[in-house]
Amino acid sequence: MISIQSLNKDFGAFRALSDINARVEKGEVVVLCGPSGSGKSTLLRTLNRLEPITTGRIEIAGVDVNSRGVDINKLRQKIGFVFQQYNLFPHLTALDNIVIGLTKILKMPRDEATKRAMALLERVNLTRRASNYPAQLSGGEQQRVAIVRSLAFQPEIMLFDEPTSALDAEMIGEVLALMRELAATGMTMMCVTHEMRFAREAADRVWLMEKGKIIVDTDKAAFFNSHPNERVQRFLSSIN
Amino acid sequence: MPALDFSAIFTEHYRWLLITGLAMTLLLFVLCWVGAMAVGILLTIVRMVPFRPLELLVWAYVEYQRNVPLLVHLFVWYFGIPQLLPYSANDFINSHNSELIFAVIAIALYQAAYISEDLRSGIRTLPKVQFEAARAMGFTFLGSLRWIILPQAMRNSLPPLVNQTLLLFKATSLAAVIGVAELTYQARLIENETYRIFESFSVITVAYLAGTMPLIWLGSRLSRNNASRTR
Repeated sequence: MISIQSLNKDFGAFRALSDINARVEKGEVVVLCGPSGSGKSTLLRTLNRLEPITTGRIEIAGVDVNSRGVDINKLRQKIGFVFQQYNLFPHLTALDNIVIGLTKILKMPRDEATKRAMALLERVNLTRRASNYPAQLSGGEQQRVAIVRSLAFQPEIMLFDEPTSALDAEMIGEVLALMRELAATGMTMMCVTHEMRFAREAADRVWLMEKGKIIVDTDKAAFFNSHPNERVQRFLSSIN
Repeated sequence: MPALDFSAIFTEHYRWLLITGLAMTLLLFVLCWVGAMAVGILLTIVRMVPFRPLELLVWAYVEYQRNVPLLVHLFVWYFGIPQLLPYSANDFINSHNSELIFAVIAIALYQAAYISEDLRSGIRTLPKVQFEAARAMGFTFLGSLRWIILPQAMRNSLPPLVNQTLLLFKATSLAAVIGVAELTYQARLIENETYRIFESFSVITVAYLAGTMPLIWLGSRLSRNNASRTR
């Protein structure tokens, strides 16, 4: 589903991503972890071209993301992206945050879009918040709306960039629950997170990054059960 | 005789002049406002395209408009530009109220520069990630501006936009100097004929106030609506 080949990304003289080679199969849930500044978010952001790459190649469902001919707006509809800061549109209600993409990008009739949006809000128990503005919602509620806003496009891949880092402790659970549920449906997911709870429960694979490189790419069981690489051990002990 | 005599300027004929003057002022205001908004938004969008020459072009436009008095712009459009136009264009314009056309163009282009500056500062206060979030959903560059960025920028810029609208309303009076028969023009006509100078100008003063007060009221209402929504 996702294939990354010899990917390099420079910010000026700084090499943020260095010779990344990796694959994600359909339905896999990959957790990206590693110290801050290791390039996790940058890697995630190159996948939907929010971040242009320097050299290399990224293919999503067989499409070269960075080729000239690709319709990036069309491709991005298949790739849900969830930000750390939720990034709901503050001038629109929770409902309209979901509806606007459907009516303006997919040109769906308004009543059909509203129906789909309400069904999604119901899925995350937020129907009663439909007509509230983002500023009136808690962080956890905003992030759940942001997640279903992406789901409204029925994407094939969901990317999460530290989705719980900005949340208070008591709200992290509700967002992780939604993500676990999503993983269980067979969604292809990549998630940058420090939540090893989520990795333990829902991930298939774990990528450990350091200084712009993927230094460990292994399945979950191997990662958490006395992985021989001492850097994995160091990382696990540093976050616990 | 120092006493005031309003009846002298409220004869049927002068009443008619004042009413048509008021109508012309309102027409000028509406046309200029719509034109200024349209051009102002266009300038704002063009300026956001990451292409340096376009950016410079808009910068030059804004500085030209801001650094030359509106009265000069009016003279340039009304007296200067027709000299450069082909005869056929002049014939068309002269048979279609050329004073009004050139006044609208001059005032709208002038105010558009200020409106684009206001909108730009409104956009600057938005977090950059709003644009990213829109693009990540699949909105095009223009779609992101149209549906996500500009609506928020408009709200952020509301106080300066209301202010610009008031200035624009008052600026319509300058059109009198190129012969647009709006309120100020009619007042001058009336005081010339009746010598009731104070009376003439006090009547249009009240008329201008009657136009601006509702605008101020509308502006503060919109601001309140906004505030209650986002907080």
